Amino acid sequence: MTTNKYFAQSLWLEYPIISNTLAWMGKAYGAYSDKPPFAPDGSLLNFGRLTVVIDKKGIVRYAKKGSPNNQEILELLLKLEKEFKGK
Amino acid sequence: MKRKCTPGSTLGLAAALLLLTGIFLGGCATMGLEKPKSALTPTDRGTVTYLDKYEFKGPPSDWLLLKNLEGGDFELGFLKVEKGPFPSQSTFIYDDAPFGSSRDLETRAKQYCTRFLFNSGVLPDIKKQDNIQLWGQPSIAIYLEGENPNRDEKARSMVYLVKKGDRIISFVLTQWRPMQGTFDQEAFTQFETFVQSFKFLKKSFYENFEDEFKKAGL
Repeated sequence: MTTNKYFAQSLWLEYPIISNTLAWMGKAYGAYSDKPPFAPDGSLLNFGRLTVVIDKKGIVRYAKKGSPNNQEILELLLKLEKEFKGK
Repeated sequence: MKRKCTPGSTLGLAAALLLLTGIFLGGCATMGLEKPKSALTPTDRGTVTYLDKYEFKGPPSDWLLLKNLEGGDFELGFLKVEKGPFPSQSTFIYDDAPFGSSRDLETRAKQYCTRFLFNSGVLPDIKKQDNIQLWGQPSIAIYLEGENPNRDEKARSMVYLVKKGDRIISFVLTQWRPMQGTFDQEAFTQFETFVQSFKFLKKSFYENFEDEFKKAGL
C-alpha cells in the first residue's frame, strides 16, 4: 500500500493505484490466462494488458485487451458522467 | 442443322477465352497494385498536409511516416534509419497528449521528464531548459541526453512543450546511437523546420472533447 502510494507520487499520478500480487483480480477480469497462446519459449504469458472501466454502480462498462485507445475511453467516460449527472 | 466444329472455330473460341481470362486477371492485377492514398498531400506552398488536420514542411523522403497502430503514444511521426550500427536512427513526433496532467508549463516539464525514455532504460539528464515562444505561444524547450551502457545505446533528445489554449502539446525528436557513435545535427535541423512550420487546420479531438465537457456543465 505504502509502496504504491510513493510509486504513484513519483509518476505525478493524481489517483490511487493498486497492485494485486495474487492472480484473483486478473482472473476475475479476464486479464490472466493459463491457456494458449504461450510465449515463444513455451512459458505461460499469464497477465496481459487489459483496460477496464467500471461505473459508479460497480458495473463493468468497458474492457479491452492491448494498448488502450485513450480517445475511445475519454468518450466513454464523458458518456458515463452525463448518465450519472442525468444530462 | 448441326454446326460443324472446325479447327478454325475451336481456335477462335480458345482465343476468345484467353482474351476474357486476360481481361479478368488484368482487372485483378490492377486491383492488387492499387496504391492506398497517402496520408500526406503536397500543397503549392512547399508544405504537406496530414489527413487534412495539420500542415507543415515535411522532412526529406528518407524519413518514413510512422503509423500508430493502436493506442495513442503519438499523433504523427517520422523515422529515419541512419548509417552506422544499430540503433543508429532518429524519430520525431507530434504528440497532442504528452505525459503528465499539469497545465502549467514548468510543472508539466517536470512531469514529462519523469517518464521520458523510461521504458528504454535510458535515464536522460536535462542538459538545458529554456522558456521560449513558439508561434507566439509560451513554450519550453528541453535538451536531454542519456545512456544505457547495458544495451550499448545512447540517446539525445529535443523536446518542445507548447501551450495551446488551455492545453499543452509536444514535439519530440530522439536520436539513437551506439555508445561509441556520433550524434548528427542534420536530423535536429530538419525537426526544427518541421516544428517552426507546423499549423493546425482543425480543432483536435481533445479541444472538441473539452468543449463538449464544458457544454455538458461537467
